Amino acid sequence: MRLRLNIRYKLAFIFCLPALILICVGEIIGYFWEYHPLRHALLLSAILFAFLLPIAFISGGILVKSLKKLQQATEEIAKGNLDCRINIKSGDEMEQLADSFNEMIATIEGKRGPVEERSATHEKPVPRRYQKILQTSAKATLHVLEDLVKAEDDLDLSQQSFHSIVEKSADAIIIVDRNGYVRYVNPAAETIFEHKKEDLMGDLFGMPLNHERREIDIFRLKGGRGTGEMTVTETTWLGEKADLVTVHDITERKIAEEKLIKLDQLKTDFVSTVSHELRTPLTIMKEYASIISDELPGKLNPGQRKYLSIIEGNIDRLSQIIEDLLDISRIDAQKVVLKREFVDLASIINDVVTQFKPQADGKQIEFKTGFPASLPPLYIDADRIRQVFTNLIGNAIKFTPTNGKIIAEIIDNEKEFECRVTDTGIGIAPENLDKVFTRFEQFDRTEGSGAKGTGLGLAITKALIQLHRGSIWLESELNKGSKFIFTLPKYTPAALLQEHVMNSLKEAATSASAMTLFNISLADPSKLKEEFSQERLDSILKEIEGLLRKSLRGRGDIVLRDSGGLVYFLVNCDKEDALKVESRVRQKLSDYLVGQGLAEKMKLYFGRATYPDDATSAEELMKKARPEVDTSKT
Amino acid sequence: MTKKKILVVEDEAELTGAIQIRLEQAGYEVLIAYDGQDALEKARTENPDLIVLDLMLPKIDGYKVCRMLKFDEKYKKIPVVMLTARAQEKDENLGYEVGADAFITKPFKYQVLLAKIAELLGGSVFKSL
Repeated sequence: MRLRLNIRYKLAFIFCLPALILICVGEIIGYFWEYHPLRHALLLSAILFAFLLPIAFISGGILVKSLKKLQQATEEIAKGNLDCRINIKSGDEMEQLADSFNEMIATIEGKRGPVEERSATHEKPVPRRYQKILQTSAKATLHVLEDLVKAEDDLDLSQQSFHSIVEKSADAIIIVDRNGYVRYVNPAAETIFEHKKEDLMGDLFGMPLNHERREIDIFRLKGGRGTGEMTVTETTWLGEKADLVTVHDITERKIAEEKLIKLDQLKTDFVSTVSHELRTPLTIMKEYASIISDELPGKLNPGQRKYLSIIEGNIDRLSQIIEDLLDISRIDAQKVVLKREFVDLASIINDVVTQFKPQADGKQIEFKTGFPASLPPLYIDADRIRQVFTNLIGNAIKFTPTNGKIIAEIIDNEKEFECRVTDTGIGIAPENLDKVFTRFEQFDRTEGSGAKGTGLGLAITKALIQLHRGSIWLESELNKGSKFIFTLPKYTPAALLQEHVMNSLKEAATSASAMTLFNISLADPSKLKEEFSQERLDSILKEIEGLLRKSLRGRGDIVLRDSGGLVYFLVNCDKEDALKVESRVRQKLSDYLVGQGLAEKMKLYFGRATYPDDATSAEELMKKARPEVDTSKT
Repeated sequence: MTKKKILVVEDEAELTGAIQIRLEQAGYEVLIAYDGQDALEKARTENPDLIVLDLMLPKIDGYKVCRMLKFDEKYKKIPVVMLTARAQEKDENLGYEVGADAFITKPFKYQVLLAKIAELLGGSVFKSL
């Protein structure tokens, strides 16, 4: 501000002052010599100066304008804005000055840039005459440096913030050095472990530090026990490698979980008790009704027979409702465990068809079945698949009017087995197709009261198919009929074992439980084939499989059989347990072989591997369980 | 020819009665026990050919009765058919663990029970001499 006024008025003053002096000198001369010619000349000069005054004022303004631009630019740079440039196009020194200024800013900008650029621009000579401006720009550089210092301060501040996060964290944060000594604890650690910082620091941490999340027991000073979730990660502490341990207090969650488990158990017990309580009277009713209907106590007249059959029919209906309710509740609780074995699916369908034959005959419904030319045994839960076919064929009969037709077939479509139940029944309207598999949905009932079900049958059917890793859908046309289609995946025993072991491993890893894979092989199968027929061998293996199956202990345990031997897989079986199981199984099998007179001819080799003791992956487990078959003796 | 002896252990007297009628109709001699303790005594004194054993019993439950018999050299050869309510899979697994020979789920068809018994007793209702 001062600069602008000064230059302008200084210029004016420079023009004003000689004019005044000239006037003054003229007046002094006039005093002595009133008509001295010089006096007029001086006055004339003063008038000339006075005339030049506005010109000087204006040109001073132009100069100031340029200087103002320069000053503003300098201020901008001082703020750290190096993008500003001065635009003066006067064609004189002022423009040169502006150009040099711009150049200089570019140089400064280069200094903030990458190193290569900096060295390139650094050597550019700065015109000497603009050194003052260079000083101003140095000031700007200083500002930049100040910014940098400020950034450093910010960093300190954020360090403080981080520090306060660690200090305020609800999780215990502990640094343990490589010798196992505690080097740092945050206040939450004091709270969770109920120990003073001084007591914890420098002490041995005392827990193994493997780098995985796990639950730990927290024994509190004031008594009582808690649970923490501990995570260990590698870090550095004061330049040395150390472990960063965080402990999240999950005591309350754990208590809630335990409560839930108790509640769940209560529910299971309830279902179990109620079902037992309901079944016993039902069994008694059913038994005596059938004793009467078999005329053990005496002859029945036609009326008695008719009414008795109504009683029996409703006992069955009640039993079915109880079974359905139990099934659906167990499906919801994920308690349904398939008991899979290799089963002839065609014979299951034939059984169900035979079972419904009297009902179908009553309505003059024709039954047809269709199976592939060669159908291998499928690895399924026979009871559950029978239940599926009972539901589907039962429904088909229910909704097919007299003189209809029902086809039950299996189609081998390479990828999987497709089962179809087709009827010529009343069909299902398109808007209801989605609801078919929804529980408690019943619609389009035109039949009498006897046709009512629970509305659970197809919901259960769908769940059972899904448990078998298949899918189910239907095609239907109103008044034409319905076609229910479901698929059953194809498995080789090896693929099945692989899948099963992998799934079980996952479960074992999360629940920290053990599992054992046994492999029982026949010694020298080729020699055995010379001695026994394939059928005989198969039947022996099947017997052995049956023996093993009897000692399965629960969910997840399986026995698989292939041409060369058997695989026997137990979850929740640790190494110690496995030894006992093996000796028991050996005894059982040898009893069987001796009993069959096969002890001499048939030798069995046992292999065994336990997770996590012997192997940690499915492949490793299967490899290590393979027995070393000694062929030299045979 | 003496008839084969079957011990029926079931605390529901009416159900036991129905089973008795069916078994006697089929030609077996039937013994009844209403609780676990009674069952063990009768199994040891009467030497039955087969035991039909309910799981839930007063005094000593069916599992224990079965285990005690199956761990005893003298009685372990007696086949045991367990009657269970199919509420939990573990019933059955536990049953095999204690050495039961067969399972029948309530409500059952008497034909199924008879067929199972015949299978375990080798078909004949009479003791071979």
